[in-house]
Amino acid sequence: LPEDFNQEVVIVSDRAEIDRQAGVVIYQGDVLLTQGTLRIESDRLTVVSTEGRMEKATAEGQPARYQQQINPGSPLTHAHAQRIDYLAANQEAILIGNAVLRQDSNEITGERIRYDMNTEVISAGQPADAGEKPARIKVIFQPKTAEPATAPAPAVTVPDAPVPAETQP
Amino acid sequence: ENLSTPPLSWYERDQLSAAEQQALPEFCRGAYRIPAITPLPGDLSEAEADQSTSDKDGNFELQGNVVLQQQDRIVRSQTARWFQSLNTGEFSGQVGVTTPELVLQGEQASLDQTAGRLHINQAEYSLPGRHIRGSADEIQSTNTGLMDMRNATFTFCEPGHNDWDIAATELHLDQNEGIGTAKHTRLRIARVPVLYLPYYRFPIGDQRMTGFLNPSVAITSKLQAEDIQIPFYWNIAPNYDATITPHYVREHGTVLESQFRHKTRWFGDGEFNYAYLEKDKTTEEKRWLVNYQQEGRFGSNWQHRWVYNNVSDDDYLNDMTPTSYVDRTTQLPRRGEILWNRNNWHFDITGETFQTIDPNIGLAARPYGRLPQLNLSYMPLTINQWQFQQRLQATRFSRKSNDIINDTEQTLSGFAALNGDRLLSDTSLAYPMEWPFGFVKPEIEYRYRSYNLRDADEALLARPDAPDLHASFGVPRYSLDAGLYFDRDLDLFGSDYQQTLEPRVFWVNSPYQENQHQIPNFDSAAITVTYASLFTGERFTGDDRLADLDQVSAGVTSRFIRGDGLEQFRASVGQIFYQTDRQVQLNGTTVPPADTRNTSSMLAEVEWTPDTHWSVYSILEWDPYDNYTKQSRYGLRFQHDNRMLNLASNTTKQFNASKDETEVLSDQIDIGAFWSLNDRWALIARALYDNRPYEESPKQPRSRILESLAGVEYQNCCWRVQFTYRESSLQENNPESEFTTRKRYGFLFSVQLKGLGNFGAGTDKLISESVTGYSRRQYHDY
Amino acid sequence: CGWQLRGVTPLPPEYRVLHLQSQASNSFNQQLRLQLEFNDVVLADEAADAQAVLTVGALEIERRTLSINSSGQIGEYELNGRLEARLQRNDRDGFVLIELRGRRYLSNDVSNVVGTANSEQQQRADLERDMVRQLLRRLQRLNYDSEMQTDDTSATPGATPIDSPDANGAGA
Repeated sequence: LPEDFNQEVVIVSDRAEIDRQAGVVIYQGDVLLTQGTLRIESDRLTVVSTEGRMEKATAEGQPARYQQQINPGSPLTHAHAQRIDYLAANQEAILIGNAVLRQDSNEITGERIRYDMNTEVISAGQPADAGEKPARIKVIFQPKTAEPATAPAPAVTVPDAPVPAETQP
Repeated sequence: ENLSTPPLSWYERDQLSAAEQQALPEFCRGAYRIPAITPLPGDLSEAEADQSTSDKDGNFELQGNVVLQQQDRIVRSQTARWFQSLNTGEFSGQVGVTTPELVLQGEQASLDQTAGRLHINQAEYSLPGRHIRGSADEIQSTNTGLMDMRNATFTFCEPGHNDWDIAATELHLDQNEGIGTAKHTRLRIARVPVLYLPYYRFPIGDQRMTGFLNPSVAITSKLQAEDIQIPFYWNIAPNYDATITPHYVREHGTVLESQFRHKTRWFGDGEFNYAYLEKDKTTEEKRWLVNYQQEGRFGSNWQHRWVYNNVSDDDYLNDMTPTSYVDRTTQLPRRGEILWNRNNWHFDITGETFQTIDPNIGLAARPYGRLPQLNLSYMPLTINQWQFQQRLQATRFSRKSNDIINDTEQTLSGFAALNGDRLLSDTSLAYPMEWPFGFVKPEIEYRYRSYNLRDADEALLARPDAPDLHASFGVPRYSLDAGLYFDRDLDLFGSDYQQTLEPRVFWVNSPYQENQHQIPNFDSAAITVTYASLFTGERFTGDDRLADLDQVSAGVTSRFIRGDGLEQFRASVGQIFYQTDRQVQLNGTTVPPADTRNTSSMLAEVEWTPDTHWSVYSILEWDPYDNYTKQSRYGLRFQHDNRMLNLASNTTKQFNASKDETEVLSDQIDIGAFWSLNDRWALIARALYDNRPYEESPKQPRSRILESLAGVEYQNCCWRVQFTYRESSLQENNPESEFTTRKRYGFLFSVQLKGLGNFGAGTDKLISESVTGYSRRQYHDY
Repeated sequence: CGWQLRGVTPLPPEYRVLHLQSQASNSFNQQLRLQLEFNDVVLADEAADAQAVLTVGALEIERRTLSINSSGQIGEYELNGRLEARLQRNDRDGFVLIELRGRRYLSNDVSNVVGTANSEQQQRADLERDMVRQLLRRLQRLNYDSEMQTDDTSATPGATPIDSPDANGAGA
């Protein structure tokens, strides 16, 4: 949800190493990060924080998993990839390596997927620069069900009941 | 992953599989292949691209070699935008759409998945299953098989070859009905317009659109147009259409032929043809033809059929069809039938008269009309149990007793003028027994006839042998048909055969009913003598003559059956042994010598079929009394793919007692061949040669070649040209001429645009009547 | 010399239960059913519960001028009969194509058109009876596996050619 960003960040893992001056904490082994509706599971999580606020989290796993509900109206977004860069600052998640993102009945796979949570724009793949064969992306979708058939203007959504907050570990 | 199909799904010869190459004729450079697409279930869509961005409303934008598949349709383009909420998409940049039925290539396309409509412009298209391609400024296609195009072309020729095509401002292809309709159509040969038609309808499917008149031209040897027909089609309503065809015939003028066709729920399908020529160039008279046909069913048991013909004069059919085969029809039917069928029951009411268009048939030889005839019959077939069959019929026969024929009035009198009503009842009881080794069929039949003759003039009534106007009589008929099957296995030329020996005996007895000669012959005729006719126990067909019978027919058939059941050789020989003379005759009472003999002529039939392509047969009728063959027929038939040959000789003779020598009645040799030399060239030849000796006997035909046809055919992948020379002999109507027939020479040049049906004088019908087994496949017919 | 009365030659047990799909005339079908049942074939109504399906095409009889008499009129007609049937066993993916031919001739009496029509009707019925017998013999002695074919060999890529049946003209 939009207010996820100022929710409390809870991270659970087997081990953790703290590098204080770099402001970097590295969690390893069954790492679970939750912040509001955001959940990131991974084998290894590198969190960079400034002034006590999480700025960037890099999750790696076989695969690392991401789940969040961006706004009350829309359904959960699921994704997984070998590496997930979660940039809290500009509210963006970048999935790299066998990345798959699922939203409603749509599914996007590719080598690199960028998910901008502000505009809810998902962009995948890179332009085919000459010579090197681009990694192909794949999209699977179905016709939207009872959505009001309007031009691509933002859809009006009715807020759902808030999701119960996770308890502090 | 579906491998990308080449443009228009056209594969060059070397890209084809060995089997496909082998099936492809050498004049085609390649073939369309129906795209093999594994369809996606439901309304799922799957896309691949180099890049994609999508917003929260599910609107996608894909870039770089986009491939989007929905069900069995794949769309390829450089960029694609898909609006999920509207379920529509836009594609641009080398757009390619591929479905099993249709392949499109264009610059820009839009697709509405819910409505199933695709719109593309500046496009090339192909229908691989129909070997059709073309281009259009704009194409709108629905997934129900409909295509609407603007400024479009359509051709059957291979990509890269535009020998002919059809250009039209509007072109509509309906793949379900297999119909193409075009407006402002130009037929172009090598891009040069040769014919303009405001509205043109043509078949695009395999199914043959009967009644599809394509424009046709026939040219005489002096390069004059002998016959030009340009049909104008008018699609009045889904179940009504009309075709108006100005038909120019060189010797007679331009006949306006019109055809109206309709489909109705209750009255079925009907067709009305009317042709009219104000003033004939040669005869200076009005000429016209009326033809009406209707057929339909209502309910599961009732059916009705109607046909009516009327022509202005006897020569109309031959004069107005110079290009087709000589029409030897002598009687044009006018018939209405209402029929009811259910299991073994049958009922019908029939009304039938004829227009006789052969002036040589005198009034006395013209057929009686059946106005009306009612039939009711119960005809079950059984084995090893009682089989009762009953037939009832009531008929009113009548015909004109005076008429103008060849401007001379003819009138009938006396016996020939008689008309009458006939009631008949045939009741038969049989017990057909069958076993694997043989069969026995005893049968008792009682045939009752009752007549009520009318229009007898006084002279006839005053004669001592005046006919009984209310004759009625019943005649029983007893018959026993029995046969045995003997087999033995045989090893011939190294393969195992089964030889059969099938003796058969047929005894029939029916007492003589006198005075049948006083009854007009309404619908009876003498049986054609064949081996099979020996075992019918009849001498006449029809119902006006109940033959007196006291005879035993005996025959034997032997077959050599190959391992797979193919009857490779069959020989039969048989004869009838009479106990008494045969009194009942078709006309009169004098019993010809042949009917006093105590055996019939010997009938023998032999047929040898070495394999499914060859067959040789011979039929002989040997008269043991005068020692000559009354009938001798020999024939050879060969048919394999596009090669057909048949040779036949038919000779019939009779014995002239006064001259004590045999006379040849007819002796004709018929040779017909359609021989494809290779995929491109084929030869057509046919000759019907009259081999009868005509020393001083009746007038002879003008030439011994009664019918002949010589032609050559060249074809390539998308058109076919036939060039035929034809001679045929027509009946000579003027009595002073020393010959019985006059000759007609014809020279036909016909172009057939493959996929479009015949665009030339109908040589196909001409050839199929000349060469047995030839039936032109309208398609590229490799 | 080896002759013996024909014993029972029933159809091979693999297609003793047949489903008949026929476009031939009623009289043809009636005789065919009678003969099949006489050779203890069970006719199943549904293809599903039959061992094999026998598909019979329409008996096409083409009438052609055999000879022309000296005054240019038709002397004799020839009737060429052609019938195609297909036997498809449920437990095989191929089928067996059976092609039968028959020929009859009849004299044409120009001055007795109704009589000629009656004798043509009789010859057509006789040709039909002969075709039923021929079909039976082929079914009895058929060697399914050796004669089986899978695809319609006459199909060419792109389109399957169709014979062009001609609607007969208006004349009798």
